[in-house]
Amino acid sequence: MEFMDSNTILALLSIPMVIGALLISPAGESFSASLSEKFPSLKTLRGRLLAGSTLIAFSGFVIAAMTLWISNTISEGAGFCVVNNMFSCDDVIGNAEYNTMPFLGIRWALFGIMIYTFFLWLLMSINKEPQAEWVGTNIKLGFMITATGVLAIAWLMYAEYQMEKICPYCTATHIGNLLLIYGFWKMGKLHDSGDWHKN
Amino acid sequence: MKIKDDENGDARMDTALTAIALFLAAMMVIGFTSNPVATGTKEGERAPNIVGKAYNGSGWQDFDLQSYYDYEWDIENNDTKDSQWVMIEFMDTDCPYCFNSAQEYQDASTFFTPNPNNPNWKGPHVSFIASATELTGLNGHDSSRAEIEAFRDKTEGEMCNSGNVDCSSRDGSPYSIPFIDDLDKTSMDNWKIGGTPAYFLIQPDGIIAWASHEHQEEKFHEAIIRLVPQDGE
Repeated sequence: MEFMDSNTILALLSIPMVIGALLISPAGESFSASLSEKFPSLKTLRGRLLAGSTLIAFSGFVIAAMTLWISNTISEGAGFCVVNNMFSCDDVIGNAEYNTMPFLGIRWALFGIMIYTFFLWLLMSINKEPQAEWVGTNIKLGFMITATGVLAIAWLMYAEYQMEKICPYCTATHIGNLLLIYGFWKMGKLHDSGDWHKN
Repeated sequence: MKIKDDENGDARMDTALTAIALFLAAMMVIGFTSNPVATGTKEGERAPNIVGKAYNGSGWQDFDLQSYYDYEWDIENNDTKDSQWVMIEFMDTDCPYCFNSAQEYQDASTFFTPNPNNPNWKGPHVSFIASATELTGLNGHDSSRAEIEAFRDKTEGEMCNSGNVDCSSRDGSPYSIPFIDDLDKTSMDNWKIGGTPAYFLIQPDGIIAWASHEHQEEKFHEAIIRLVPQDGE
């Protein structure tokens, strides 16, 4: 991957997340107008929320996987990230004091992949059977877990503050989680209103 | 109704399999394209980093153990000409053994420096470092930066060796190596070291080549001679 620096790679991996964020945003309807001919599901709010959230979860999954790869690469002794004074994922991900979860002891990057895999499962199952009885439960579960993730994000931001460094890859996965809170919340509102089934 | 429930179950099961397949695929790609090395203090593991302040004789300077490493170095090609190895001693200026073996460590730090006048060492430079801690709960083990300076420079006015003798009375000449301030035992805890002294020989790429607690019968300088390649080997 020497032909691209770490920031360029992150920018490319974040493209689905940006598209997903636009789809679930209030501007999603106008944004998806040109695409709805090719993807008819985007004509409905439910379709846009599901497609957008799935894109965000997929992007978060890939970036979390990249973070684990970086963590492994650093342990081999190589550096990966473009470094300047404040932004350095090598320093953050490579910090043995902070890069593992308290109590569980597994690396945050691995936990990130696992949790995004779970989000993908939730969203893919809703996508496949949007009218099923358990959809409301899946949406609530997604909302609760992403909301709980804010605690983990707060802890990791505290760790970055302690290190006086910011890890762009970690931040991207945090933003993905925050976007998914909004996505699941909007889905929950739509489901509770009954309009979910009309779409 | 029963059929509908079964269909719903299938949707969740199908997607669960897809999600698990994605997870496994990601883990396989990561596994095939990287070869992680565990961080720890056993031989073959990556040495935990040490960041802090070190006294070099003229003042307390920033210290970062990683700055000693050469990640391009590879043991397979024995390319040790320009890459330094690191010997680190975890010690306490009030530890009697550390006090009495100071000359041995200082002499070794001079011996393992490439020098045309030293025909006995044809290997690369071995950087010697000491990390000075304060073992708490032991009688007379009250240390300070001033005591570390006095121990290193052999200057008067501070009490070493369980607080029994002046630091300047130790054997050997003044050190020329950096002494890291680990009075709060941060590095001792990170490295999981129970007592002093403890020695570690670190390869130029940051991997621990030798740890004294795994070789009680071998002295640190014997380990250097055994493990560090010299010219013609």
